[in-house]
Amino acid sequence: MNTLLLEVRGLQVRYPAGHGSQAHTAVDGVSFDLAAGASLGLVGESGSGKSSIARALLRLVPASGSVMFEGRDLLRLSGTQLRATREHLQIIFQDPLAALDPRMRISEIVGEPLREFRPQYSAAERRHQVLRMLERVGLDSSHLDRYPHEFSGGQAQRIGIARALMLKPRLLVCDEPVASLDVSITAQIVNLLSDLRRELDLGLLFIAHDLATVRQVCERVMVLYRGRVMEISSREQLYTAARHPYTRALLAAVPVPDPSHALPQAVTASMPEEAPRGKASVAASGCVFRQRCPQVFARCSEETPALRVAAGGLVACHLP
Amino acid sequence: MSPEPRHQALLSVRGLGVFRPGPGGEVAALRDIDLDLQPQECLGIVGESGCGKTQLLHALMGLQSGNVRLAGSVRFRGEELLGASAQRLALVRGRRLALVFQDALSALNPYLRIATQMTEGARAQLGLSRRAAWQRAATLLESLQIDAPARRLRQYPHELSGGMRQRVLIAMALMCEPDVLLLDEPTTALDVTVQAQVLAVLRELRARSGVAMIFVTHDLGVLAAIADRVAVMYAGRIVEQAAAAHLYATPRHPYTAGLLHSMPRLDTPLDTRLSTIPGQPPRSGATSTGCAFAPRCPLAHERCTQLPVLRCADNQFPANGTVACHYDGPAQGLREIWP
Repeated sequence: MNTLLLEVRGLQVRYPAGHGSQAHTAVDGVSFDLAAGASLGLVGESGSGKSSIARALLRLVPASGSVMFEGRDLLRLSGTQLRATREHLQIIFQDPLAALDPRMRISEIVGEPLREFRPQYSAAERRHQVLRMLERVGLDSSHLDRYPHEFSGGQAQRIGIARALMLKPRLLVCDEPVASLDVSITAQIVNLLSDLRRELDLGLLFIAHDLATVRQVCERVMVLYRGRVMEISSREQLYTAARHPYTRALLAAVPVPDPSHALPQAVTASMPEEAPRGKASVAASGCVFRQRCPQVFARCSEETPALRVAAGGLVACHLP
Repeated sequence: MSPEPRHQALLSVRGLGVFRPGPGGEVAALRDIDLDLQPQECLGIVGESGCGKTQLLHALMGLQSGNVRLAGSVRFRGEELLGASAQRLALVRGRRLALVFQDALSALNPYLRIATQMTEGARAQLGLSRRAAWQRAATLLESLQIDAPARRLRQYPHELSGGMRQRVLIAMALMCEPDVLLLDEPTTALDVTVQAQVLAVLRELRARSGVAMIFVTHDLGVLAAIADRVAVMYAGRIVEQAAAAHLYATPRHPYTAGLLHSMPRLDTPLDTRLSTIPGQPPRSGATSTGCAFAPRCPLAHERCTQLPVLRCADNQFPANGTVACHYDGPAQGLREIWP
């Protein structure tokens, strides 16, 4: 458990100015580690940069900084080298049906990684392995020759997971894997991912906007706001005594299925919603969260809080 | 069961069915819906995709497409709306019953200023002057906690944040002071923090104006914050209906219990495994002769091949709610059935 799987330092993702939009820094100096077989949740509102981090790790968007994965900097690999890392680094997406080629059968979709990376396997061997993986994620041989449109969202997400795990990767990036699924299906997928992680000693980077779901899957949680890390804490710490005011606001906003539970009036009223992107001018210094922070004080606009060590994790806040 | 509508009900739905043509004949997207909405009440409707919850709102508003057949009755203050003339409907729709759509960005016209969109209906329906309608729009935006309403009214939808757009839609629905606000997943596309704000705004609106609401969502957590009564839908039917306090504390339908136990929550001990409902919800219009939930139900039994009718959940306390399930053991028993 002590070997580092992923070591991210000063990651920055900047989208250039386009038609009518200003250049926008989506991820601004994010650093974190992930141990082999460990799980880290990435949480924040829309615009916090969580999906951009996922995309940057997979080199789907241009990024600067460094991303050390198994001793190599992913951001500096050339095409062939990068392709070789794909074997160990996989992703599943929010919209599971959109992530599957509608013209391919399930056996081809899930078997494609084998065809690419294990050319020595015969078709029969490939089919055998695909079937074993499908069974592991809760599907069966009757699904092998069907097409994506014949599946529901939950089943399509299982297919996406099967494809991602076919080569036994060491890191699985999950970009909001349950956000578009039904309530009864979400629990199935959350449990499946937790089980697979333990069985396969899989490192998991789990992106969600929902802190309750992250709590089910992740041992550590990183809270992001406007592309910066506000807090990284162990699950025990974050869910019992979150330190950053933003984390506390996110926790207070999670709906509670109990009518006797009062809405967190105080927190939400004091936390004005963020202005639409591009309109808000981010000052060069100071805490990015200060305009919405219920506990803001003079120092917050003078000095950007650095991530500092606190019990059970790191926090970027001037409050003691 | 078709109880007489209670005479004070604002909206009374009996035996509502929505049928659309399918390859092998008509398929039912919705059937046997009985609902009463009392003045000032917030009725929550919860269900997964394809259960017919949006179809229900559209049927109440008369928004179904032309090839759809409706059956049953929808009475507003005693007046039948199904089959009513277009002129009659035009006086009710938007004015007495107003719908807030799910996706605020696509429900707003990107080319028109907020003011134009907000005032259009009220000027046509109530004959308000441009100035009076503008005034009302500004007051409503302010009451929904939108800063600088006069400036917002001059802006275009893309200049507002998601939470603001959703509140603009709610304000727009309130322009004609409707008796009933129908809300279709009004917080689903929003961040949790913004969702909490919109819920707080809606609660404040209820307390202040007393407008009745039908709030449709897939999220039982959201309904707990706002609904007085909750109806749970599955495969086009209502399977349980109860006062919110009862439904969350002692669900009577295995499906409701399963939904509650499979929700990730913050208040369970760490490392509590989520309960799961096996299988998946049927597609909209799927037919079954018995209980549609039986294939996923741990209590399924031979009797479940017969369609269960909505019955009193608790004979001693008939007002506590209704349930469509053959299981008649103690409600506590349902806590144990989900692994």
